[in-house]
Amino acid sequence: MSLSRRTVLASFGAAGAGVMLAACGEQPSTSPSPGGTDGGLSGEITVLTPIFTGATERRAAYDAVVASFQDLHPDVRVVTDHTDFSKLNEKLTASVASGTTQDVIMTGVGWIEHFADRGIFAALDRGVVEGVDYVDRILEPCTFQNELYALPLILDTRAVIVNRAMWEEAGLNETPTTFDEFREAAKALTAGSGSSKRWGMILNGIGSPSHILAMPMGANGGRMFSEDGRTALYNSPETVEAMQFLVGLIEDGSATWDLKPAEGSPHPFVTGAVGMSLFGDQHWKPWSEANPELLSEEGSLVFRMQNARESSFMGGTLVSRSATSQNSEAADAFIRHLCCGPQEVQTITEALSAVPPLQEVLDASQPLQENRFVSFGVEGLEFATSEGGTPNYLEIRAAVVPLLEEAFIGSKDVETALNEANEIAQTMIDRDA
Amino acid sequence: MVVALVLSFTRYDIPAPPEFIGVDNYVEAFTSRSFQRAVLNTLFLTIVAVPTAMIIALVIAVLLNQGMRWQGFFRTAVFLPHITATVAVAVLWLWIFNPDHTGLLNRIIGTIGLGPVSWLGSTEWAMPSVIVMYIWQSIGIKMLIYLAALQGLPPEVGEAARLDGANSLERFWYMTVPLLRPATFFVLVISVISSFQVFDQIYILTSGGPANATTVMTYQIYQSAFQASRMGYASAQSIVLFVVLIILAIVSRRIVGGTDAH
Repeated sequence: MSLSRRTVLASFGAAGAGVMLAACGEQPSTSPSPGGTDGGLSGEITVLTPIFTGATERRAAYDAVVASFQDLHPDVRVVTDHTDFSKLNEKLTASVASGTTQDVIMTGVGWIEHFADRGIFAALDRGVVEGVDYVDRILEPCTFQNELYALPLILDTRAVIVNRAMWEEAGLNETPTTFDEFREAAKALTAGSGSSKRWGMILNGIGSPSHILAMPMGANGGRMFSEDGRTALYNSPETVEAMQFLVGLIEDGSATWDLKPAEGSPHPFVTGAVGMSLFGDQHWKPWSEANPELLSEEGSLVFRMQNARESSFMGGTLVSRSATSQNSEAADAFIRHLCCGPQEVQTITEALSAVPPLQEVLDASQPLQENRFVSFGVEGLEFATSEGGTPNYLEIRAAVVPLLEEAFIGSKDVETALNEANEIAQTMIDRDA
Repeated sequence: MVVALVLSFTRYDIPAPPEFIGVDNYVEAFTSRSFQRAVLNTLFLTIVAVPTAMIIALVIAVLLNQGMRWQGFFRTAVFLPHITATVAVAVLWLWIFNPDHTGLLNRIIGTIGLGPVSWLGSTEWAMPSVIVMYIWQSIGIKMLIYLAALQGLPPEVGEAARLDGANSLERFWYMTVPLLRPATFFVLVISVISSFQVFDQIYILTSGGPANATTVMTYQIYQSAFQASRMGYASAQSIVLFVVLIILAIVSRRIVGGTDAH
């Protein structure tokens, strides 16, 4: 008798799960799950996340989302391992090696290929994103060999901000549409000398050198790797020109690689020590608190780098399921709850001051609409360039970054550095082909 | 150790099972520019930091063996960095090396119109900065060993030299230093080993950068294992590190020489 009841419940559950998968975007995640309130899900799922450490409001937002999931699935226990991005790979590798891979894993753009190729992440059912209004570009970093391996939770977009008063004082009008115009603008913004020099542009400190290169590379229509990920393109003419443009800012005396925002100190853009800077969404809160006038529409201009096309940088946090999860249904339900529920995404993106992958979240959130970096990021998602594109990318990036740094500090010319980078990247790709 | 040796002959890219590839990992390690750079950086750190720290530790040990006032306090103060967590120490040094005008070092040099210097962000200054922190942190244990050795020296030898007219510098150079040879050998060996194991400082202060200027062997091994998930290659790099340490221990023994006689 009891076996028969289980069978019936399981049938309903399976049918319901299919419906749920196909309707993630149409149904609020707070809707009852198939099979009743708890969807028949039970047991424990483990989660590894690198984005909820630090400020207490981040953790509180995550805890609230977990609590709302557990309201729906009271028999599922969520155990979370919090870390940060610098230790994420180490933690993940150790857990994979020891056979204790977490069920749900949050990583970044450029990471999916590495873990999908090694069979660590499971392919998700495409139906999960049906009806969800994603810009196509957003799902590219979640996809490997035409399979979906992750859902985006938050996006991290980066562009350029300029001090409007300095801009007008330098006699500049339109924002630059070519690399040459950008360099001229940076020169015009540069003033003074010695220790009181005002730099036209600050390059260092907003992400790694590969993030910094990605933006102008995208503006030139370039890529780090071919579409199939088999060919490194670090020394393509588009990438070389993009890197030359960045190094040119230093050669012009408009920027220096030595200027890097110090931990705990106000950013040089906020203090007026530089005219232009790259920015990321996470800078909105500290910068606007430190200098609200400068961060207002009247105080500053934001724009995307441009040459052959417009380009911003897009990173983000992507959520995957382990291929070895022993509780994959509960893990999938948690991923859907986290990434497809507008209320959940809103809670998290507001706490993290991050770009939501769902337009409806921005439309519903006053704080996000008031955040210029976020609203500008959402507007420009179609122009976004990301890093990654090959299974060895994490290893390649570790090897390439020092070469990019050598080009930035002038100990190697751009062409030599990128030729070496390309050779190293191609060797790594071929080794594992 | 045995497992690492076995794995070093395999391609073991987690989670795939190990696959025997002969000496390919060693060939790659010896031809890899970044690993070569890491070996050179490690040797540079060892050659500069170990003798400097040993000399400073010896001088401090001698000074703190004179029965001066507040001796216990000073001994504790010198030893304290050794037992303090590197993460905490590194946070302190991050403030000291802060690249803008709020950093302690830049404030100091700013008073004479210099700087600011990007201590950890420039290829010229990053390794010297790491070395300064390493020396500061490692003096304590060396000082303690020297102090113990100094207190074991027979006082009558020094007294005889004093009666023969040797001044304090001569007594230190011709008597104390030779008599401390066993302690010096021990300090040298543990210092060389410890300098080859530097990791925390690099991990927290510079992440091996800029432009690999502070990448050391242990950091390379970490990157191979935990950035690239290449446990076989990381094992081969670890074996290379082990062999280098054995060679250096033997060389140290030869340099200090004749220690068994003492």
